[in-house]
Amino acid sequence: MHVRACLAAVATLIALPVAAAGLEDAQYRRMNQDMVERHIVPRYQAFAAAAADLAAAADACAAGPDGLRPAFDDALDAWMAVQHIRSGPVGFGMRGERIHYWPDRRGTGGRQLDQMLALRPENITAESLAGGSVALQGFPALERLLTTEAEDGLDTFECGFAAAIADNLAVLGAELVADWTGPDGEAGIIATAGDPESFYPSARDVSADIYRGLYEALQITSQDRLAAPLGSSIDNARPRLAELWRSGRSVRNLTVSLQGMVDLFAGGDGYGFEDALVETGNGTLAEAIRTKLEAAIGIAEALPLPLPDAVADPEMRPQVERLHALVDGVREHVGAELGGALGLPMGFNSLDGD
Amino acid sequence: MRQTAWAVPAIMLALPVTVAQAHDETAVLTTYADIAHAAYEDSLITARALDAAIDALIADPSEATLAAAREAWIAARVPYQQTEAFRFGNPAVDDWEGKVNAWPLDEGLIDYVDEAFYGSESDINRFYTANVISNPTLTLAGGEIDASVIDAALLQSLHEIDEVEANVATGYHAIEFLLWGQDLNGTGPGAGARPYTDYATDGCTNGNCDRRAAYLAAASDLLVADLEEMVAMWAPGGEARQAVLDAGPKDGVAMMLTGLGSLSYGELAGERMQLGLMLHDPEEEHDCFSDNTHWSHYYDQVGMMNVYHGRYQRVDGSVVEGPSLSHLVAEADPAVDAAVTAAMEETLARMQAIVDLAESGKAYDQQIAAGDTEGNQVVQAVIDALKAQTETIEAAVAALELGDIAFEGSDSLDNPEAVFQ
Repeated sequence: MHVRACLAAVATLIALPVAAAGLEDAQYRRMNQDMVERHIVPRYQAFAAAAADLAAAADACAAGPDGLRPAFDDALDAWMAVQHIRSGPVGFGMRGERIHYWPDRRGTGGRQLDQMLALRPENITAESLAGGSVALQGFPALERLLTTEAEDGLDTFECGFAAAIADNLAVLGAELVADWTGPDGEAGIIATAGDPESFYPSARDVSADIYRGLYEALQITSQDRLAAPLGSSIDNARPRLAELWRSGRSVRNLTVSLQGMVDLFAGGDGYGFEDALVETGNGTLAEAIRTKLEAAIGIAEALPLPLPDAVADPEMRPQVERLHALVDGVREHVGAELGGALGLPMGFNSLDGD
Repeated sequence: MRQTAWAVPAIMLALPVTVAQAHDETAVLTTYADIAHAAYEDSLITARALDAAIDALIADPSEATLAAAREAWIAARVPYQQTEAFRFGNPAVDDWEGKVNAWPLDEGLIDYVDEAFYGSESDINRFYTANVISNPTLTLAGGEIDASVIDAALLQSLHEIDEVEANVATGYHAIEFLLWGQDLNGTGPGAGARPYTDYATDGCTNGNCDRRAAYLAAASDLLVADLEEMVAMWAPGGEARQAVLDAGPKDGVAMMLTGLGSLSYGELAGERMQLGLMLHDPEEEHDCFSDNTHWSHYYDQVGMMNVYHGRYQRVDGSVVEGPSLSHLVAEADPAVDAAVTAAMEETLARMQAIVDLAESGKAYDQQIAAGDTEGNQVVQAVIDALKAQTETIEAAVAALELGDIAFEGSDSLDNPEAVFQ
């Protein structure tokens, strides 16, 4: 419904003179290489390992869901640390949605899970899940099983379902790593960007894709993780719109996610957007982005209440509002200034519109 | 009005090109507004017929009067869906649209629901099962709502209540729910099967038949009133018509193309179709109670072609036509005009395949079911055609040198291998 505001925002972004600024091809190449080798690939590898551990832990589900919880947290942490990468193999076959279908704006996942628990189909496997709804294949569905459904223990069917989701996550993690690092993998394709046969016309196009992913992740963090549960006022706070509130993961997801974005910004402590900004005389912008991200992480880490409680608490709510203002400020810097400064066009943003 | 812009006297041709173009564009905008006016008027005419059929159902509930009301609803969708091409790009329409065609809805706000199918609570909506028909008082943490009298004012106050868009209390889909009831067949065959006795004064089923009838009557009256408002907005001097004409040649044409691009891409291909293939969920069909979705999608496409070609065939068979967007684009670049025309024909053909499959017994909600390869492919083909159509519309924007126009997007689109792995 709120289309026009978004259209106006995008129009502003497009109107910026992106072509006026920009980096040398070698700078984009260096940035891509560091982002891939020092940030993206290690993080997908960490996710694949954590998801494999989760799948192994899920085999012991029958002994009680408690044993699964640490592995669930580790795997989710590993995903949050890399989910701001939204281009490349994660976009093939809806992998990103299958791993973490969130925000679920129509509440479809919960309804479908209830239907599944009522139907109790036989022999749920990672493979059978893969052909069905994306909302039943990843963390949000597993979270419901490990929290609400686990209150009275998990029966054989529920354990089988949880194990199938965990297996599915492990398969997806392995596929992501293979598609990045294998022969003809994304890392190699990126390294040859600009070659006549390459998928990417130039190294700049790769940087632009990663840049857009960062912007979209900031948009989701600002809008869905924070503004939505805050609601329009304390009386209209929406605690249940907080991300994975059942497992108390809302703040943790936010923190790990923002930390991941800081690391991407720094090129995995190599040469990243931040360094390119400094090099092009945009040090003030680089500092503003880093300072705000770090301040936001600081507030999130110090929040004494779970997010669903904090948004409705008169004392804590201003902290969450401040956190939202900081993240939204970064979103604006990244959307309206960073791209222009580094010659990276925003183009079509898949989150425009409803 | 027809073709006046092309019959300009020779003397005018000597004027600078920009002036001649401005003249053409104004004529194109006038055609656009005329078609909008006619299509909304047809929507109003068919909504009045629906209103009469609903009055007859309430006065004398029977299989026959219920069937007649359902037929009237389906007929009313034909012109209305063709107006959707005017929604995006015209703020006056987009601001108003939610009252008449909001979707998807949490129907438990309105009436009884099947809990096993629908669930009993939602993270998003505190009014998920408020059931105003059976509850004269609605309570919420913030206070109470007096629902003892069901009238237009109550429905308007419930619409999008609690800042939740899924609280749809008015419009076509609220009426659809009250005529068909929930489609409890999942992705299997069959539509909603509400019995006419839900409106019976004698032998009432599911309770509160008088309140249900009051709700249906009020929703139907409101639909007529809201459409009257939109018809007036497109009449000479009306707000929406004036906004297009006042926008001037360039921005006015941009409004037309924004409407086509946004409906093609973000709304239809994305929110109404691709998301359904991602979730394989029967609720992800636009007309989910009546299983009329195939026609609703089809007439969206017809409406977009009306706008592009400047020609609308009215419900009574008469034709409204005039200088068109197609003419303007062809003048700028004939190849682009041919590409848009071909892409639109292709989408219509792919839409026809959805219609044919639905009419042969596999409804849209079955087509999007997990594992239905045939249905999934037919739906995916429409999505792909709509995306290709959007690209040609972008080319038209470029050919007319309209600058940057952002179409409504969708986070369920943009992945090239989205569904078939």
